Amino acid sequence: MLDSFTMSDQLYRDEFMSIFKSGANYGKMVDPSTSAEEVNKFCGDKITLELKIANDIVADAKYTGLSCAVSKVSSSLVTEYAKGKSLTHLKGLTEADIFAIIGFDLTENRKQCALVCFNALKKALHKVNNEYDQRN
Amino acid sequence: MLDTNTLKKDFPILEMKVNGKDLVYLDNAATTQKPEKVLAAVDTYYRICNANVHRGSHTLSDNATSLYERSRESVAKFIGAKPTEIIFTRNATEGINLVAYSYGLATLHAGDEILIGGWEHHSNLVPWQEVCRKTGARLVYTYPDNQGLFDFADFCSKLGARTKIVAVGHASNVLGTIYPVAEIAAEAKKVGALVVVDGAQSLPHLPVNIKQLSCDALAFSGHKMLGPMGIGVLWLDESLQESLSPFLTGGGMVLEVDENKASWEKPPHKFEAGTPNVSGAVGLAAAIDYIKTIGIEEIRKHEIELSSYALQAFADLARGFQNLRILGPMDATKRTGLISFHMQGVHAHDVSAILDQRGIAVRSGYHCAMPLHTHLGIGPTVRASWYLYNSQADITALVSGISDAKKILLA
Repeated sequence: MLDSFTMSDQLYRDEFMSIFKSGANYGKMVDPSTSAEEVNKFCGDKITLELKIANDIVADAKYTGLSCAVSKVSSSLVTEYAKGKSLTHLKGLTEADIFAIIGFDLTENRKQCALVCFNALKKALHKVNNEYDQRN
Repeated sequence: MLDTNTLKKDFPILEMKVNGKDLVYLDNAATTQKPEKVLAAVDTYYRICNANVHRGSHTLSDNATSLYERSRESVAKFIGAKPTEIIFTRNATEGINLVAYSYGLATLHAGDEILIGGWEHHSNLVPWQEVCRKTGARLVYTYPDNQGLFDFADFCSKLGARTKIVAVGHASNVLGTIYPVAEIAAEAKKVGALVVVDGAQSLPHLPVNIKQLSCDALAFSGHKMLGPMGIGVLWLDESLQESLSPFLTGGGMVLEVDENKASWEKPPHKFEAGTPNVSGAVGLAAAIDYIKTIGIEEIRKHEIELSSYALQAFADLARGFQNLRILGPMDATKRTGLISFHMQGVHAHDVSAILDQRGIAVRSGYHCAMPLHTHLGIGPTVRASWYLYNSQADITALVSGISDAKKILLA
């Protein structure tokens, strides 16, 4: 019988808080190539991701919306990671890759918060694909 | 105040440590913990009584049937009803769905209205949206005033000849406000509307007698009142039971079946299709026995004292922190034992995660009441909710944890 849980969530520490407070890549973009909205299944919060794409490479990525620190920090890290990457590479990312990119120890419930931006990214990439298919 | 040091010993889970800290369980509006007596009742049922009910002609089936029906009597007595008026469901949501489907879908037409509280939990909202979608009826909301109290004038202005159903939560799971169901029902009856009450947040905390409420249907859940999950109750007025068609059909609710049709058992059995949750019903009866031993009036008094203490502590906290907004009335006698709050610039999930690191369990989010949050113009909130085993020390730990969260997140 478990009589104690270990403290797995030492989250709100310096590195995490400094990314949270920096709000990296938070904001609207002028003339984005594509965008996608995603709702956090855990709570109903919503974020919007915008991408600027040039020659099948993500030139810029920004996000806006109401979200918790985990969702915000993850969005900052995922958008930062996406910059300069090819669409093919980004399409191949898995949830495990995203957790590795984020690098913080998250509880099961909070993993949903961390994946909101990634799910928006998948949606945006899917949209780009469809638009490409329609054009051709 | 109740002797919480002694009471806590009845609840094995409250001995736990979470994140290395003593568990401070303040998520009782979501679900309550179970006393040893409830755990033992469920365990004993499966060890020495388990059999399917109503149909078996052997001793175990007979015993299981007696236990199940005695549980029904126990629930009936607790709310001043007749046992035949008690329908066992999975939860309050299922009870409301039963009324929505059996009454709403069968009787409503385009142009009819369902008047509901703006404080409703999705359980007493989404089923009515579905009824409206399928019948062409319209959903009309009466929102509480700016203190979170019932707005009688607004309610009356929205009640009319088109109103066929009035569906209200007895107590809000976000604001804590207790709504005047008897007055609501009296007005609704004047226009001939059916009154459906969601009692999920009131039954565990207040003395409730259906004769005083004067409603037509009352749904509640066992797990929010120390009972097991998966057992709920719908009290349905006798006069309605005969005329309503069953919501679910199948085994256990029929008298005779031929190739093309079936006839129904008498109520309440006609509304209980399939093998029921007998151990759940037995566990709920044990929970009611436990509540009765302490006394629902004593529990109510205890919660009012804790709420007064908490409201004062929150008011003190808000003095040093303008961005803290406490929802609901500031008078503890007008609410059940919970406080929801919003901190501008701080997300509710982050507050609850920081509290969790201190062993304090609270709920954050929209609490299945998104329209209310939209109406209040706020995002997710944090909700702390107490019950008979919580003490002033738990509230002190909560307030101190919120102070820490503020320091960490707004530093």
